[in-house]
Amino acid sequence: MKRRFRSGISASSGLGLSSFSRDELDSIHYATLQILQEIGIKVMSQEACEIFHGGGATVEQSADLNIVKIPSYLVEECADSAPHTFVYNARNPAEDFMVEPNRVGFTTFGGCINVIDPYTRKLRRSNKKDCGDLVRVGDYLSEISVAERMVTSTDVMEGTESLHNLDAMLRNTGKHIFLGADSARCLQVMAELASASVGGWETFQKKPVFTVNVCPTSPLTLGLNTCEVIMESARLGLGILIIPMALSGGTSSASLAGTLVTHNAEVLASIILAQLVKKGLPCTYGSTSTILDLRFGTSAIGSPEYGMINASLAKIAQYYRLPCWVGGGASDSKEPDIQSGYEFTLSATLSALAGANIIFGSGVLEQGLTMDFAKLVMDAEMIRMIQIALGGVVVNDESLAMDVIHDVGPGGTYITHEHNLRTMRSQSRAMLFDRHSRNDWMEATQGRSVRERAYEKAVEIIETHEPYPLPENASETMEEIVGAYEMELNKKKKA
Amino acid sequence: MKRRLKAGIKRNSGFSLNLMTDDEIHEIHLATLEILNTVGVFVENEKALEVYHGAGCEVDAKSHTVKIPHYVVEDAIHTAPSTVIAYGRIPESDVALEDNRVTFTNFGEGIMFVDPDTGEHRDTTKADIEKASRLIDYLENVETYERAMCSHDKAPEVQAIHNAEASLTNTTKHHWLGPVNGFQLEKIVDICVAIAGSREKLRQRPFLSFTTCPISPLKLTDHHCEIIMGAARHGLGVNVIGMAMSGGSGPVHLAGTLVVQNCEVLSSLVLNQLSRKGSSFVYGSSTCPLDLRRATATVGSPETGMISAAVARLARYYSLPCFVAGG
Repeated sequence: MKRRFRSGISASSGLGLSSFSRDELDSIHYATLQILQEIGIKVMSQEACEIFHGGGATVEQSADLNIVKIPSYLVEECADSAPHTFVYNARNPAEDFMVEPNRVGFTTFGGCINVIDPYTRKLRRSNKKDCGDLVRVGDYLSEISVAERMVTSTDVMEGTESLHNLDAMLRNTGKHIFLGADSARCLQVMAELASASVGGWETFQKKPVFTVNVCPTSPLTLGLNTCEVIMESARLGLGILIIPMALSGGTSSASLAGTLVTHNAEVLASIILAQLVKKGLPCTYGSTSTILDLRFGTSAIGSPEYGMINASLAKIAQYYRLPCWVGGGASDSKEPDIQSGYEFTLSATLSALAGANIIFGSGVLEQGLTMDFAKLVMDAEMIRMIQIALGGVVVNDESLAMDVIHDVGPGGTYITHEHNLRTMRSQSRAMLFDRHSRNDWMEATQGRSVRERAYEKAVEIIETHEPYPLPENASETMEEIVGAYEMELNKKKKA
Repeated sequence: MKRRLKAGIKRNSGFSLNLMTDDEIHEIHLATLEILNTVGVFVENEKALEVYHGAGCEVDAKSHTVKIPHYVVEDAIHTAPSTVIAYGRIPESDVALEDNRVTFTNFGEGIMFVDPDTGEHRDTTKADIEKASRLIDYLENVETYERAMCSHDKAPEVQAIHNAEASLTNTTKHHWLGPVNGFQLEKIVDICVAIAGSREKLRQRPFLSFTTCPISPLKLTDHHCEIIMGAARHGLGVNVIGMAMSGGSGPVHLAGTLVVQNCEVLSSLVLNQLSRKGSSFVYGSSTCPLDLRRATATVGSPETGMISAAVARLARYYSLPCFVAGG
């Protein structure tokens, strides 16, 4: 039958979360402006206070306390001058990631200090090799869009961890990197190191391959190091990711809306400092805020509230048209078990439906303390499923398949219809998860659990995956840079 | 500080899903009406053919095809109630089902069982049902009971009756129960009457609804029709659970599968409302894709959730309570 084109009907592009009304977002915004203006932010760097003052903020100084009160016009100007869309550049150009509202990508959790060894399956402190191995697995997994330093190198000289983390990451991934810096000076050396990995400072300046994570301290505090790293990033032209971890009930109000407001104030204050140093600096609105479980005194990142807070913050970031990076998919379980799967799915799906640009949480267990290889591989499988769900049910002439339904009629079969053969590849596909019948499952896996198969897959990736190569001689230069910085710190210590 | 009341602002009452637009839902509705009117459905039951014919449908007695004009479909949608109370055996177990109000139930019907004592994987028995329904009676966040398993240790002709007895004696929650055919449906109604005290009391607080499934694509079997008409006759609700498997008994594309399934459920609704106007009807769906690589029904796939969410949206468009797969 002829079915002519319909004039435009309102169509949906996929599944999304309906959360706050415009009025509610306005209320959160006004409450944030009131906090920045009336209560202010505790700023622990003298230099940062001067910069805020120069931008139009009031600084109230007492013996050991600097409170910066920020007028609303300054907040709005700076939220506007931060770019609304930009690229997370990658060493491998094929991995460049475009950020703009609602474009959803995933990455792993970060900053853990423990790892479950993929060979012995025993819990231990993480080291530089783990940092590299985990990032290498993330590099292989196409579901992981950008690289976050999953664990810290705890086996290196104090004060050089972030430099070693970056070194391990540059050698193991071609994707854009997110990590924190130990100090402003260390950040300079990190920039040097990254330049070496892309063949020079000029290339690096045009396309910085890493973003600097900075963490305000809740409630409403910018620590000395945080300020210094923000200012140094801005001078170096490196984008920053502002990632507070407010604990609702502990370092922020027990009501979620109140937590959103103070969290928002902390992010905006950091953005303002960055924009005052360098207008137009890429700033990513981040969060890993959750609730403090007041029964156990733990930060419950596997709770539904984790998903709710982070999905809400994604909506708030979109309100400011800022790229965002929020939590989703983390777990409080101690092993990669059913609990960790349930917890991953709920919060990761909420953040994805909210349209967060980067959702971070894959691979983590135990309130964010421990990384696990199997969980990372299993989470990647689920990420692919979530991304299929985001596509929603497409309604158009092709997908309504009216002529096919006419053809097959009552009691017929679709399996042998030509339309089935043509479209079957659009189905979701399980690679690691199992969809066999019970007998076929036993034959294909010998009854090994998905977790067991995930560990095997991770080991295979560690041992066989070849990351995007470094330029010639870069490896040696990088070694020298790291060595020189260690010597510099040693000298300082002796002096 | 004084914070005076804000004049009314628009609020969202919680999180929900932005799914299809009204225009898109309307497309699916129009496609459904077209199929019902031009392709029609296969109806096996003679009595049901008469009922359809009496309402103005075009019935071909030889091929058992029923073509349903749009106004018959629209009438049925309007006469079915928008709110269905899933009564429990006791008032404390009552649950209201309507627009956007979310409740959970267990899966059904499992035919194999992992024995909690031995770990053995075996056929289910009546004793298992007793245990499962007692467990569900305890679980606060499972509001209603779907017959969880099958009494494999009883004669096939009377298994549904045993299923009913096993769970009705172990949970006060509303039952969703498949009677298999008209014969067992009558016996189960007798059990319910015995529990309620009288037919009149059962009609006042029907604590059981029958579930029944059309066969995809577009077939209403003899038993399916018996159950729909029987439930209406006794004043019990019916939950018609579409199972158009995308890629198998429906197109691979989910929109097409939704159309096929919608035809099956709405033609069932027509029969139900023609049997007794105002009967409680629940729009059910337990659809998933047929994984064409493994030839298995993939209830764990993302598509299962997507179809179920779309069905919930569709049921809301019709103002019918819905019952969909998830989990």
